[in-house]
Amino acid sequence: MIKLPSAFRTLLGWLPALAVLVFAGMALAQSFQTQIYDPTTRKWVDYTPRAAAKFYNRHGQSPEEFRRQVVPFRTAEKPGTIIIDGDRHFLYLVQPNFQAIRYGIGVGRDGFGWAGIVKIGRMQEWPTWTPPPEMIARDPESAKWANGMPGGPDNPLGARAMYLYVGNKDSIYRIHGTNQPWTIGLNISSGCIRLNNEDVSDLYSRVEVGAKVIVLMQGAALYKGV
Amino acid sequence: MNMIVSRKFTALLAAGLGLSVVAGCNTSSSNQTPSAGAVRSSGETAPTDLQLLCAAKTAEELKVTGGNVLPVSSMPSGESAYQVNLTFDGGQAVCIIDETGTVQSISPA
Repeated sequence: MIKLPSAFRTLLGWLPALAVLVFAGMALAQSFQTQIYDPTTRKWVDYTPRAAAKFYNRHGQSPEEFRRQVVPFRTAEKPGTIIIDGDRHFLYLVQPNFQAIRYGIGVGRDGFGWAGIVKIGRMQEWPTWTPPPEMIARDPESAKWANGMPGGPDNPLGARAMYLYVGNKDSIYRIHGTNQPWTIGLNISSGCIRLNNEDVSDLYSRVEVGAKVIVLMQGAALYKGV
Repeated sequence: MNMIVSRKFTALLAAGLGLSVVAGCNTSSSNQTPSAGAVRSSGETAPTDLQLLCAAKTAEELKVTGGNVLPVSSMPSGESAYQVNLTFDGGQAVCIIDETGTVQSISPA
């Protein structure tokens, strides 16, 4: 019997997950984009990164729709469940009495969106960010953090991170904060769900390890769990 | 001369009335004008909670093991309802739900 090197065996073990991720990257058939009303032209225009940065610089915060608020929410899911609507850029935390706390989010850019049912497997304050090898390949600047960037205000993961698991396996996706708060409302990440630091800290204080997380994104391929 | 003045007055009155009607329309429609900074999604899906109600009802009706039913797409169906397409381990289903949250039908796909 051929004995494979342990690293190769590990890679083989991850092949199904990698295949799902590749599929997820290819199968985003319909990408929804946020639009913002321009009172000058009286038209809805695409909420691009440039438009988002301009709005944030002018107002010091994201559009009102993306600010934290309690909304009516008819659901059979139990309080503490997180529901992410990637198409509308909202994260809902289910509350008692058919209500939810709604937060604005940034989600995966074209080819990086996904949908599925996962759970919070781990939580961390001011998490360390370690760029994956493929990110280092795309952005050599990130190579200096190959061994991990300590938590802090410049860290891309922001103030808090909730690690999403499928069963007992890390999905590699997280709900986290950001050092780019103007990106809320955009399809901009590599598949993670980002909130501004104040919101992610609020969410972090309200959820527990084991909480169910339902991720909806029309046209995106399914992650595991369903 | 009086006749000419009268015609001009009538024309002005009619124009004024016309403008007021137009202005009235504008006033009416301005109530629907979004506020500055209003945002929306470029596509139309069912409200998030309705998608999940469909998923929960489908899990119950079709006795899905583990109860994990995931909405994968949705769209308007008629004037006040939505079609929600669902997937689960071992199958798919289509659910029609109205805006009040009443599930109208569930069909295995």
